[in-house]
Amino acid sequence: MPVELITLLFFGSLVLFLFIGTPLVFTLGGISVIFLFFTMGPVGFYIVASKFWDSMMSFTLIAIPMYVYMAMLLEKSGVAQDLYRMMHVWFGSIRGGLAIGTVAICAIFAAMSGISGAAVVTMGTIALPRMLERGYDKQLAVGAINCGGGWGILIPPSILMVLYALLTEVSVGRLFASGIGPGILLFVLVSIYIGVRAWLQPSLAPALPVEERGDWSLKIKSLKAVFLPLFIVMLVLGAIFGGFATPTEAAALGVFGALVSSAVHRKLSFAVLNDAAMQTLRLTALIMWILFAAHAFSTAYTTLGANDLMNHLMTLIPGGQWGALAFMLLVLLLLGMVLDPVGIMLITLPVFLPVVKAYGWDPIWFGVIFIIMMEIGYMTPPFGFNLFYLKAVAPPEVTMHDIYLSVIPYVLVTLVGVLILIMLPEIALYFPNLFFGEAR
Amino acid sequence: KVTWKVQSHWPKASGSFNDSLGALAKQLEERTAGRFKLEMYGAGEIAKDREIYNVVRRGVVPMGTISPGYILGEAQAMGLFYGVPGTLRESWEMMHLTKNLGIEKMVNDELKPKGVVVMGDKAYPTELVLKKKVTSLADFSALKVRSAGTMLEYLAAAGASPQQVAGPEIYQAISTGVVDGAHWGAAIGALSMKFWEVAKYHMKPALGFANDTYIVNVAALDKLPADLRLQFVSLVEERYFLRSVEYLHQEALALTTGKAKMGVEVVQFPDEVLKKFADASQAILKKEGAKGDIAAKGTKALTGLMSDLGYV
Amino acid sequence: MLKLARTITSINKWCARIAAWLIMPMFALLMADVIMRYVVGSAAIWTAELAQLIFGVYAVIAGGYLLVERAHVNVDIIYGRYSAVRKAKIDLATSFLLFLFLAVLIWQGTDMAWESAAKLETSSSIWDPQIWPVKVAIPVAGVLLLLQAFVRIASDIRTVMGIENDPDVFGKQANDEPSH
Ligand code: NA
Ligand code: NA
Repeated sequence: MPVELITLLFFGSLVLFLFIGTPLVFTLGGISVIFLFFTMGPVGFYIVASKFWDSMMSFTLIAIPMYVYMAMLLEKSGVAQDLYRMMHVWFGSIRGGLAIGTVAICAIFAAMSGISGAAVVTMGTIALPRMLERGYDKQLAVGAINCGGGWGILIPPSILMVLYALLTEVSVGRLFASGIGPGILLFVLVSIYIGVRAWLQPSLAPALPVEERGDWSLKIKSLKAVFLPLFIVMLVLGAIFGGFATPTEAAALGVFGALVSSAVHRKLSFAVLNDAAMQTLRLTALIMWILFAAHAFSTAYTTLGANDLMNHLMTLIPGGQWGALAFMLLVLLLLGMVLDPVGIMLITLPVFLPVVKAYGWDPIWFGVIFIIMMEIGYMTPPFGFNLFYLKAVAPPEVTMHDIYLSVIPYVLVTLVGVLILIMLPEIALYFPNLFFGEAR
Repeated sequence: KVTWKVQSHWPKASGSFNDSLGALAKQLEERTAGRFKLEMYGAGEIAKDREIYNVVRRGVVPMGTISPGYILGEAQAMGLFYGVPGTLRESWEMMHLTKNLGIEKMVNDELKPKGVVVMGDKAYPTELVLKKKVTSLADFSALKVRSAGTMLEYLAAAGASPQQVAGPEIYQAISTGVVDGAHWGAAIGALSMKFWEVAKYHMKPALGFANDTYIVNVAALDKLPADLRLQFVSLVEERYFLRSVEYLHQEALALTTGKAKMGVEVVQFPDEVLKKFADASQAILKKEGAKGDIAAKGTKALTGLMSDLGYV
Repeated sequence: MLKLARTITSINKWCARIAAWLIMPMFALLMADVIMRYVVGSAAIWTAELAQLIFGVYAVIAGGYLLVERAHVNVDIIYGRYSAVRKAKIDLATSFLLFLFLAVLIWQGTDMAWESAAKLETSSSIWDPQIWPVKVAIPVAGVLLLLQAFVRIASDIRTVMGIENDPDVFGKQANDEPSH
């Protein structure tokens, strides 16, 4: 069977069962098993168990339960609520102020962790309910977290960037540094989008009524809500950049900070610890089971002949550097809809790199664009980790339909960011050149 | 016509993926007039690290590449095949020990009943890269070094504080100072992992020599037509020596690049540190030998070689 | 029959209640790693690895509990509009995916764990702990999920037949509203 047809069957059945409403894990797992049988026979089944074991032994994933536990403690101890009350008192007069504040926190969180799932679950837990209860539009709020939560892989540190560097032999330090500029760019673009949208349609992100805004004394008083979150951020970032801990270890410091904060709020009780622990287990297990099955799924696709398909695709690449770049971005966008980013990286990078080299592009610049495309992949339907993580934490009134629709404007805004980066590579290359000198 | 899937433990863009496995695949195809092809998979595409051993043994794929360090428990002499830190000083000594003094055969005697055999890919040095200059034992003892496996034990015994840091976090850990240095192969590894950007001192002599190896499913090997099997086995055998010396050349080129373009300084370990290393390696060697009869036999071969070379 | 379903459901709930507290040792071990490196000068060789092994069990063991809670994420764009009966019919029709997946997972996981336990497999690190108990967690988690899947099948059949299901016996039930 030609690989194009297999590809169609493989992803076609994924999309079919997803839309019927079969839970993601069983869809990914079941389809993997069927296709493994047809390509390798029963001997290939071992891959399923093997991929489980690999993910269970992946050290950097321990950051997920740590950050989720931190978020649950902050939520249950009222620290998160106080923070949002403060933001509302200060920025409530600005339409969309709360959503912009949320993406700002997303950007800070991105600097604390190297993976995307932790930020999405954390912000979905502490920020989403606060925005909804203040009358924010579901889709505007959900999309902001979906998008901002993905910046963890763009703003350093980033596990995905390390993988890219390993596959392409570029400098990790340069690649990390090159994520800073685009991270700020995306933050600005998304903030502008939210601001403009809220200005045009005030009902989507209402400002606080004038009589509730409070005077300066209330504003000053509310500021004390910043100290505890700020303490946690300083603790984690200080440990990472001060050389006290790796990003994964630093996640435990986030939990420590949350425990201290709960104690300060006099909410540190057995009931709080237990409730938070139950929800953390539930969310971590949910994320991990999706990861297990997703890894089996992309491995099944690899053994089906993904490499052949890629090599075939390369023959279709149009001439000229802009044609080639547009084609590669399109492939990444399409694959991002149905496959996990690590799988996409392993499949596409070995065939894209020669093209990058042939046109003399800076692989660091291409790397940043690649990472942003992966971040888009995290949020594009039908298959995107951020979508499913958000569904898991969002209040019941937020349906998958809302979540799917919510990403459209944010994907477009992010693509505008990619376009700007293509036209102005300096945005990505300014910081690496500043820190490490001009590229050789 | 035969096509074998080969799961490598090297990433697809790495030097060894192309120069070891890629070159083997190309020559094999040429020599068999296209009758025997290797379909190569980069690290993690089907399996990674020690899972490569399991997928090959179960016949999910007929062949892989692996570091013996992942599977030390699978054979008594595996530690010797992987390389005991601080014992040998040059690459040819490791090649000689592996092939002529029988270590590879000792490992295979135990592995074959489990359904796999190993066939050495190359011997290569392991060298330490540090961000602080070490001029005394006191300097060395104050170091926090990222390490793994037997080398971790060795560095601890010599007085440093070895640390465990996950692969993707090593670079960041060195640059922020969580650790003061690390080893990842020698110069080629330091160049590809970009350690030299954040740690300028490249330490000599090597901490030790190790083998990378191919691992092949016995049933798949037996099923090959006799002529293809002969071509395959003799080509891999021949490539071990070719590749090991080619690798040393590439090591030299990598270090020259580092010195010329990245300001790398080569530093010799002080004598007092070397003395600590020698003691540490004796202790580890003793432990290796105590693993059983085969390990004792292998250890005897190694110490015999060391004494012939005047090292003990 | 009802008694069996109730037992399975409560086993999965209790597994989760106990496993949830594993977050504490993982947290403590990672903290110990950081603190000891700076206070004592070197981290203990076993803290990070033990945290990893605990994480392995923690990550996998609650699969059955997720099914009790109907917490395995799905796309509810079409599904959500259906009645509880129709949802049950669809779940029954697509359950072959779940059973194929679990059959392979339990079969291969058992094989992997059995082999590992038979040789008392260790991690090859300097601490060199036994790792086979964590491998055993894979088939155990698979069986916990499989048992709960049988309970879910029974509850779906009962729903189609128009019988009310007690959540304490059959786990959280779908309703006629868009589900979560
Ligand atoms: Na990050
Ligand atoms: Na996607």
